[in-house]
Amino acid sequence: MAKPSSVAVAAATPPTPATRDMLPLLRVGILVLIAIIGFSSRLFSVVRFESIIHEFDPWFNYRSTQYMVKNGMYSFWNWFDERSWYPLGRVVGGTVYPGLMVTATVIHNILHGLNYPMDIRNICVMMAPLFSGLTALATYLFTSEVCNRTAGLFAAVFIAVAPGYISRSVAGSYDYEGIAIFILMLCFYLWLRALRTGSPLMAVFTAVTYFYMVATWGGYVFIINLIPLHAFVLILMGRFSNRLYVAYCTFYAVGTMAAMQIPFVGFQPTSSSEHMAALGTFGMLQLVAFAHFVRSHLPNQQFKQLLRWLLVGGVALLVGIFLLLSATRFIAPWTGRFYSLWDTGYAKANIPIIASVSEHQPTAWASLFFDLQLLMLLFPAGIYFCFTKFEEAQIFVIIYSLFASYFAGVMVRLVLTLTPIVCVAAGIAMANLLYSYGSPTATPAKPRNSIIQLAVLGCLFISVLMFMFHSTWATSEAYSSPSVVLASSRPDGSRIIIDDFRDAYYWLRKNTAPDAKLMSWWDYGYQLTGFTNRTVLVDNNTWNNTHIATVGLAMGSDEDKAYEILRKLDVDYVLVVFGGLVGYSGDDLNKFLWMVRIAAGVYPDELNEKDFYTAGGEFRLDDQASQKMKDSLMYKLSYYRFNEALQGQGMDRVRQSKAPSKPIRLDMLEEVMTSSHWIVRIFKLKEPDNLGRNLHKVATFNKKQK
Amino acid sequence: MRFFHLLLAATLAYTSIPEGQAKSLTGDRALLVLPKATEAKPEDYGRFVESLKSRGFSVTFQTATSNKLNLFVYGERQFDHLVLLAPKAKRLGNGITAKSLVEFIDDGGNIVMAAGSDFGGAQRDFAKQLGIDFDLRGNVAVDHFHYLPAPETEAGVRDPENHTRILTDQYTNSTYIVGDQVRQGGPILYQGVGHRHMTNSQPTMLWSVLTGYPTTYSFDTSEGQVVTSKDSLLSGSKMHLVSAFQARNNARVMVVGSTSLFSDAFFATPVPSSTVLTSPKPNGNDQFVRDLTEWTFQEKSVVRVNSVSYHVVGPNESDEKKESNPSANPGSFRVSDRIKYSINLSEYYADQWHPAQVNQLQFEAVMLDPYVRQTLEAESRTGTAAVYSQIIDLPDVYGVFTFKVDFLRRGLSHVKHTDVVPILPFKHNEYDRYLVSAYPYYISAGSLMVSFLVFCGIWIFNGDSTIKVKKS
Repeated sequence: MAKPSSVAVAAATPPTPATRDMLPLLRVGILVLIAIIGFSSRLFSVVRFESIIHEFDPWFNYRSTQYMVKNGMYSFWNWFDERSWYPLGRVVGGTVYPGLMVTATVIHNILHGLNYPMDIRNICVMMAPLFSGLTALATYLFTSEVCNRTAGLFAAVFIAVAPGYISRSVAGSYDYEGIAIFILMLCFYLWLRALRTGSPLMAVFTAVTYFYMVATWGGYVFIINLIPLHAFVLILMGRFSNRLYVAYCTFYAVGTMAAMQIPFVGFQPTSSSEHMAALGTFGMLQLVAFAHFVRSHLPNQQFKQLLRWLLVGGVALLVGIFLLLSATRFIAPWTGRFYSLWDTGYAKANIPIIASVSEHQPTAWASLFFDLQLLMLLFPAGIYFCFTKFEEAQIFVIIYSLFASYFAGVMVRLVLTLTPIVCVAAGIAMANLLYSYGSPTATPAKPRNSIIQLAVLGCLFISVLMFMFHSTWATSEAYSSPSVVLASSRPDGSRIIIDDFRDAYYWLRKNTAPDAKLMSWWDYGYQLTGFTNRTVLVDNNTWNNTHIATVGLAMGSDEDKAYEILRKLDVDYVLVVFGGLVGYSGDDLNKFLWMVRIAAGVYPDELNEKDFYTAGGEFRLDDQASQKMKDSLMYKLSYYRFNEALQGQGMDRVRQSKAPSKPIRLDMLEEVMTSSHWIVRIFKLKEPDNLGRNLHKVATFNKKQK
Repeated sequence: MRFFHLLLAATLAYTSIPEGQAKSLTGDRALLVLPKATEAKPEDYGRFVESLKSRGFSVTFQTATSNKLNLFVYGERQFDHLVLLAPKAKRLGNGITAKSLVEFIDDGGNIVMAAGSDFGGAQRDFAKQLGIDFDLRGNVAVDHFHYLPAPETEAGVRDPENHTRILTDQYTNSTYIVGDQVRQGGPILYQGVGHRHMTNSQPTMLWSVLTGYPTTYSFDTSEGQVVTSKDSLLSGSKMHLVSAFQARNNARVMVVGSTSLFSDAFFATPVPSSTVLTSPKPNGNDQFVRDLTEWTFQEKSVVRVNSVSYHVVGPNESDEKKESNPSANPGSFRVSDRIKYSINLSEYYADQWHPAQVNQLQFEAVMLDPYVRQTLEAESRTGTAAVYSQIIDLPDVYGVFTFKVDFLRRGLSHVKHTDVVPILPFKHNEYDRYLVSAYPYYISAGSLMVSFLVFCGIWIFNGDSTIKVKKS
């Protein structure tokens, strides 16, 4: 908490000759402290829980990092994962951004090379905090490039603690975003630097950083659209320069060739729509440069005429070619995820699998404010200050903030890309405010008024302090839960740890055959393979909608039909997550309608969403639930023996409804494990009857014979 | 000469089966359940028992109602084979129910069950679980065209004029159970009930072994009964006299509608030849019963998979795997590999493993759907095993495939072998290089590099002159 005040002091201190020599030292010291703050405020989850990988996707990254550490780079590249997407399998090497795993492996190997053995898990857990510290440095560099070092220091401290970024980079959140934001800021910094100096070397550095980004995160498209856009805007504004030409052409040529080395990206930079803007800008730059060359050899009047025709003709030609190639599908059509960026209703109507993910929902105002707080107020001010200066770098900040704001409004997860620029703008605003009010000597423009100065500085200090408190609180309360382990508090305030997931996963690991096939909804796929080392049918890499729909179909069908599907898929165990006992709202029954929707999208003859509502169109799970709902496998598995275990007083605490009162009959699966809070329930598929009878008949027969 | 052959066969059989070891593959403990001593004695089935003993079984006798009759003790199966000759018993042993009999099957035990006209209780329930529905109580199989006339002196036959001692040789096609010796021998003398197969029974698991002639039907022969409804009449080939059942775990059950089929009295009764009024000849019961029990007790028609091997053939044959362990099957293949799949099968009969003779043995490579389905051809045979193999072109699709041989024939044990084998896409260094179609790209790359050098050269050597021109 000492940090903001020290920054304020440093920034406010006038550079008198005596202190001027101290400034670099002070600056380095402050930056190091900021990096440490950035690192340590992300350790809540490790302190509270333990050094554990969080969430869902990080489990896959962790598993593949383990694979890479064990088998080396080339095996990873050629890795065909037979443990996921049974029986289709997944070609991991060609469907993954390997940057994160490579980074972790490199760190691991360096440490081991220095005879400092550190477990790969701990490296993975600490990766995001480590890179957050580096992000603060990159943001400092970027902001210094745009404004000045004071603004840089402010931006650095803001990005170090901004909840919008912490949400994706706490310890254990071993995901692409954790390191991608660092690369993003570094890349933009290098771009601005290359643009300012016109140095091909810097442009090559930009391209190399861009390559690292391509290797790391699908969000690299943001870079490859934003930089060309910047160049394009500069040309339109008549700010074409040889520096721009050198910087952009070097960056584009080297960066694109480098990007194509990533197997997952392959030839997309030459064929997909997302990359066309960069190519177009590249071509346009050549034309403009050529025009400048011609202008230097032609009289002005002739040139203007020529330029006009050239421009019209060139643009028309480019658009025509693009349309032609799009129509002939030579350029890949826009993907669904891309469409949903422009039309927020698109995914809901057409691609339920995208809409079903909560982080793809549009952002609520409250969550924007929760993630950015004070920065939300400083953001417009910072942009205003950018307009007042309006050079190349400032234009870049404005473009960036414009686009990032829009995308952040469309998708919750893209608040992440907005956060850095908000921090930068806020840093600029703070620096300018401090310059205006913090200077002890009166400038001719503004006569000195120490009371107003003090009041403004005091307000700023208090709001920054409150932002710090808010950030710490948000980090500790909202963003530090591993979600594999749940925490809740008793009425007396003491903490209670709900460790059902790991219990169940450990049970599976120890009690099932090594080649057992597990079926669950795709959300748990990565965790299941990561924890249990068993084969799963679907996982969070939702590349095959049909396969997911088949699982949804099994969950939504009655027992006989489901049994048939499960047998065909060689399933041994079915895992469902049920939160009714303890009120865990992220359970499968709450996702059930999405399963039905996704299944109905592929198998419209088999399932219909309407059948799962009551006659009155309600979604109910108690005794008034529709027959189709009551027959569905998911319903049966969730509520199996629930009411009996609670002596007929069963109350579903998620839906706030009564549990079904009639005992649920389950003939084709048997319960093998239910975790202590009933969150995870595991069922084993029964073998077909030895005498060839229908399993319902077997159950009836066995009951009668007792 | 013939005698010598027999002697040789006997010696061979003797040497191959050590003393005290059953010829059955699944154990030698047989239990014979008989009704109360007043109804039947072990001596009534002397020849049948003798046949069992000569085949190496240790036979235990129990009365159906005896409390000492237990199939399981502390969860351990006590017998390998069960012969139930007490159809009338309402109660079986120490609380043995239809469920216990099902569990006996599930645990791998084999059962021969004889039914009678007043068949009921646990055994009838058990038969129902197999998909066998016995006809109404009191009904027996009757045939007015193929029957054994009762001799004047014979006592104990309930009503000789009702033609219930029928003769039949209507075996079903499969020779896995009933051998040629029976088929060519005398007809079967049968007195008992018939049954039907329920509509939901599994045709691959339950099938008929013996039916009556088309003139055979099921009827209550007691006084005053008349045929009421034609539909309910069980007759002809729909009326099964003996049915065989093989469970998924290859446990076998033989259901016979008659106890007397096994009796010494029937074994000894001569029957007239097909043409009426010629000299009597021995009936086929003795050998027929022997065939039935040999099949049921896993003494024949058992096929086992000795080994399965598959490996790449042709130019892509991988070397590194062969060096480490030549006999092991590779853990994975690459798309479009040409492989050789072979399966080594043996069939057990006549107390020995022989090369299995099967046809239409199919190989499947399945990933959700079968991508390959090919018939395996007989390749070679040794003294005890036959190898069936085929060259197979794997599909150009990657994924986790199941290599499957699933061979199901009535009478043979179920041959099923599955291996889960991933088929991998090309590795990054396995693609072909220097393709003809790639030459434009090579040329373009090379020419670009050369022209860049040329351009640089021109630039460097002309640089000074331009500056001079400008300066001047």
